[in-house]
Amino acid sequence: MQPFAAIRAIEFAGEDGLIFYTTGATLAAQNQAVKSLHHAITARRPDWLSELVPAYDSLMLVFDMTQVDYHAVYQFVSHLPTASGTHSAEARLHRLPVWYGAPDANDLALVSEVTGLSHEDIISRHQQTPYNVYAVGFAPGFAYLGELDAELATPRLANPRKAVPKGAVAIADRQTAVYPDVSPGGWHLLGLCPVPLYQPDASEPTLIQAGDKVTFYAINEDEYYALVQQAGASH
Amino acid sequence: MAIRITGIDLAAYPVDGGRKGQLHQGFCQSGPLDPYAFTVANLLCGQRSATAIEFMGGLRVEFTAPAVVSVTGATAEISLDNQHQPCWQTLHVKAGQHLSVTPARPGSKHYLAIQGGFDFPQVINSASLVKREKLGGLHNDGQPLNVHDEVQSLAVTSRFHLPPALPQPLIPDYSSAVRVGLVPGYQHDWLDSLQWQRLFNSEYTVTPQIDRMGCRLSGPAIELPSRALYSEAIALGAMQIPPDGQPIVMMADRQTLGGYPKAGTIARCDLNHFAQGIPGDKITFYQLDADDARAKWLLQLAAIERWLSL
Repeated sequence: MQPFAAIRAIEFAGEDGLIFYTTGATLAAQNQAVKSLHHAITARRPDWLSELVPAYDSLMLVFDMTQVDYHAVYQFVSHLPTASGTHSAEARLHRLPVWYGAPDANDLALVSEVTGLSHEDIISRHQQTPYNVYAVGFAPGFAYLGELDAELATPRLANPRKAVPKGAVAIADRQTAVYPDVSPGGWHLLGLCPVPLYQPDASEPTLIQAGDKVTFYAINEDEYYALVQQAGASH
Repeated sequence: MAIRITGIDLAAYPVDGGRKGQLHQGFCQSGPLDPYAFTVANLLCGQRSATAIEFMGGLRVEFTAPAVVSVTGATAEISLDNQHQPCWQTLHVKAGQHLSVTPARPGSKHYLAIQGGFDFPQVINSASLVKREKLGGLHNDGQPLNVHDEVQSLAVTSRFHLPPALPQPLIPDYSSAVRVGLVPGYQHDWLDSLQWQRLFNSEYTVTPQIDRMGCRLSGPAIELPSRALYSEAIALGAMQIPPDGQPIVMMADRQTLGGYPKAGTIARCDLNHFAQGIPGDKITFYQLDADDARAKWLLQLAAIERWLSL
């Protein structure tokens, strides 16, 4: 299939799916093109659309193959007005509090060893940048945020944990994330976030969507427990 | 109306059509491993896509009220109060009767459907159980069914019409030698012609590393260049090639994103045969292009519609 505009390649993801790969000078630019395409398709929401899954530099589209074939889907997408840069709605911004160094989620010493940075420096660098939500996946509500300060880049743990605590704020390579629930994981942990990211019974079960932006700010232990209680009460 | 579970040999849990339109939030698709057997089980009870019970290994239940049910899946012995019954047909059950299903091969997948559908909690628009996500099940905590559990069925309305008996050609032949169509896609161009020959001309064995997330195969290793790849969406049936070259086929409960290169996806028309594989089974793959794969799938659907209109 012939690529077009900001799409560098189109491949099959099954006989009922296509995956569009975007082009751009930086990962942020590639992801911007994913957002534009995602928005353009969502705005039309054709009947045959089953799934639309954005990630870093790709967008998978799954269609109902009783209604259309991939030729029709290709025609539809290639005729969308997706002029690069004209990205739609303002990105939603989430400001997430973090109790850095919380005893249940504290790999600051390990990170310090790898990066040569002091604990204070690690914590302040983690809060410096507003992050793009490049993708949501792995588990419900797990948002991949980037890009992390290059000085903070760490490899994954040699022995992944069997149970990372709910709300753990973690880093790996040039990514950061908050674990929405207890799960196995191999990222280094910096602290705990009291804001629930995943509530299966809520009308919007996941807080963060691909395309949003996230910033972190430091809180202390007392503020953490007050916010945990508040979240519990409102739920 | 209800059933009481009196015996589970391996596992039993609720499935329906799965969580639709939720992949982008990180919820896995879930739903039946063998969508064909699931669909036909429901049609035999006069409905589409109601919640059924997927089970592996033997299952025994007692009915506390009369019911219309069906059992589909790989070959199994079915009896009602020790009277032999056919698989893949509508069964009329009286209160107090005991149904017993004994699969011919342990690990194959089977479906028990009931008219009205089983009543399980719905979460994110689906009753499908996902252990990893702690979703679904009688207590909505991702725990499968246990012996002594009672499961209610939903009320039967007058719009249920039972179909005629299922014609023999619509019952799949789940023989242990399986040829499965593969639609090349994703990083297909990372495989050179030698690797494609290897994939299509070799036999792969289903390993014991098999669950609702995926199925690991063993056979001649597929060698890929080492290139960076950002995590991306994983389609149903996608064949991942990890660094050791042994393919992993991603099934209903697969994680939504992953960073392993993928050669393509199993064609939907053959997915049920693949899903019925158990450790030790031999699989061979043949190339199918997207148009042919879709055509074969539509023919399967048309055959079902012809049966329903008989």
